[in-house]
Amino acid sequence: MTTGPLAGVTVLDISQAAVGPWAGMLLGQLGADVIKLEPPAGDLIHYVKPTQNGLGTTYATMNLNKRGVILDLKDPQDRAAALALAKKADVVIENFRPGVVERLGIDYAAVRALNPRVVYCSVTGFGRTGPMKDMGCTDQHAQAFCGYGALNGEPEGTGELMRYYAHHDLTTAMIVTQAVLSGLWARERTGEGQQVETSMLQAGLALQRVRLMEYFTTGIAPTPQGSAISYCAPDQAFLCGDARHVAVSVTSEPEWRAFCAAAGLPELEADPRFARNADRVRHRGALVAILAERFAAAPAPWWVKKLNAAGVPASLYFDYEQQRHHAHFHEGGMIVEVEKEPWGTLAVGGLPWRFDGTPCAVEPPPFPGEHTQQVAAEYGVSAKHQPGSWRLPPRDPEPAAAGKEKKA
Amino acid sequence: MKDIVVLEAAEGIAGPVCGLQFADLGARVIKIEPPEGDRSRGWGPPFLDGDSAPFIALNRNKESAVIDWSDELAPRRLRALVAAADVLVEHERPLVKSWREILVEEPTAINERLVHLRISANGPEGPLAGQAGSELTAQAMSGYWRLLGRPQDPPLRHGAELAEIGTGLFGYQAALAALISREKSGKGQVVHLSLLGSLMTYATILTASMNQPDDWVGFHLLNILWPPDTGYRTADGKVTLEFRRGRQVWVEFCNRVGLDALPDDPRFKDWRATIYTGDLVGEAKPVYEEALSALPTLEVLAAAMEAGGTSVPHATMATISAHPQVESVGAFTSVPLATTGRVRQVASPFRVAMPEEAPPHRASPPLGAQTEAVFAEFGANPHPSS
Repeated sequence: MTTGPLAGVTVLDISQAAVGPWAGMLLGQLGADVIKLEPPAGDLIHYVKPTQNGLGTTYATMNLNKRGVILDLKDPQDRAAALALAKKADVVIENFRPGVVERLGIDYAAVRALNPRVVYCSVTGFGRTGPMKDMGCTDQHAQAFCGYGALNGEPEGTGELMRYYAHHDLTTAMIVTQAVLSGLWARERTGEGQQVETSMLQAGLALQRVRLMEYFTTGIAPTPQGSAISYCAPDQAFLCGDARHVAVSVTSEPEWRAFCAAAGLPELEADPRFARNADRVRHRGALVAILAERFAAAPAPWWVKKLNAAGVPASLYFDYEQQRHHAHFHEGGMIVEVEKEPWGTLAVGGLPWRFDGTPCAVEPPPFPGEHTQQVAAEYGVSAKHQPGSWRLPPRDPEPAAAGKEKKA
Repeated sequence: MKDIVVLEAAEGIAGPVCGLQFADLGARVIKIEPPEGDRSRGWGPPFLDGDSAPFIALNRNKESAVIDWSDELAPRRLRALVAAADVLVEHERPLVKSWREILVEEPTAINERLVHLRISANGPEGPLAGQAGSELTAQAMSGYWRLLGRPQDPPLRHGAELAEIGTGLFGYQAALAALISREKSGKGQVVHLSLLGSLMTYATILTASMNQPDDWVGFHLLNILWPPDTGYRTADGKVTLEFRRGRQVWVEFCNRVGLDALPDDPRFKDWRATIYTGDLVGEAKPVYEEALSALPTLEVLAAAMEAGGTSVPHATMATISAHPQVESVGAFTSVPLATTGRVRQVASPFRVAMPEEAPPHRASPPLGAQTEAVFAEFGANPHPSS
């Protein structure tokens, strides 16, 4: 097993879909022993396509580095087993709507009564108070509601959301992880656990904290700017002579000087319109017109080589097919392969941190309920689910109550 | 965290986001800046009282000490700080001198309890290691640009700093996990992070989806070919729409907004595919919008919610800032400016009760405001010119 910095920490992850589970996964990748608890019907994310050899790839990527346990919290014996797990856990993570864990009998008060050292994290869509507390939320709603869609797109356009409906989910999971680690740190000092909490709303706003500051300082809401950003120039895509784009960023004065020299435009460095970043931002139109002509004179890879050699950030635009077998993404550990039946070889995102002293590893996800009996034996409890028996129930085409107790 | 000392030698966004999380929880965060200051001090307009909006957003509750890398006192000062610090956050860039160049020895060799975060654009290994990079190059190389716009059009940029802020968040996790580990081992360590690596970690669902899917259908696979998601236009705004609980909810919504004919329309037989993340969203959108664009946003929201669906308005930075729900969760806070007055900012996004009292909110520091105090305290005399 892993030697990560959280070795010895135990996490009971009773959350579903992405917002809670990915936080549990990050804690697992940091070395914690993470037990993913699913109901007999399984995590609702099993229904998200695509599958690989019949089982969902999204489930896999949200639950790496965990052990899988199936317990029916509505069954007294299984609920007793769940509470036995919670009693010994350092961390519990849940992302149900307000009131659900109380109904299931695994809320903070119930767990704390058994385990005062527990750090219990609740994460919701819009918070646990306020007029929208009972509303469900997903990534797309979070993006729209937080104003993310007003920042992206063509200048003068109406703005658009990101079509990867997980980035806000996963950012919330990041904040869950921060909250849990902060709670664990506080416990190192006090010996006491606590309930920590966050929401997709707070995470979405934190992701936009720099752009919100523009509004708070000026009273003017920022608008989409194509590939550019309001506060730096040049920092955008340029069309090159081979009809490809190059991404170029000049974000400091040393980079500006290096850029002018590398681009063969020493006269720009002396031009007072472009003296400092604030000047370049104010004269962005004139600057971009000059640069556009210059970039069109050479192919994109030439520009990448030329600017990188000078220490100026520049790159091509890659897509999945270019990354999948690119040496950098493999040698740098950014795409990692794990083997697990029934998926076979899964290609997943790598670790975001590389610890030199306490190395971490990417471990495969569990098959749902794979470790139910192993964990039950470890904790001296009995559980009904028999490993290997789990099958994804056919999705009711019109599930009457689906979404009610599901994802926050 | 009031007894934790964090050195932030990381210009821009990633390092300061990491430092901000520590500062918000009471750690002492000292920004080590070159004489010309953190590059983000010059990012603007917008500026407020001479400070840039990005800088104000990320540097409250911190101190600023200036070190001139070319100063002969620099190595001694850095060594004194490293010896006293718990965490060093460094963002390595080709045109910025690294601490290892100045100190000669590794910071963790000076202080074995030090947690040293090394942030770079592309990570420490692989053929692109050591290259200069930025928020934009991380979005370009990670494929994130493909999630906006249309494949045939020029690439767009995500207007929030996904790679930088993501790396700052991963950095806080790494530092805190390493500090927790240090409680047992007594030892700190080096942790590497990168802007590109952070976005590739984030992109894990897409990477796994496209690896060897059983079928090229479903959520995320045709994502690139979906039309830009601009929301559903109403008479006075835009909204999202989702009817997860089933067909009867969707039918009820259609009836309430004057789309009574849709449930019997053969094009809408697979109604799920026509809304939310369905593959027919692009084709179906004009039909929905024809009816919705005649109704005020509030009416569309009410129709969706009363039917049992979910619908929220698309906000701007202005409208979200005034929403009552944001107030309920305490998402914003008010921080003094370095000169006079106060300004709103995003608060710490999670609630955790710390054993110490919450720190007072202090303004983002003027360049070098604490240089003399910091070096007097850490046993190295300030340079007369600083």
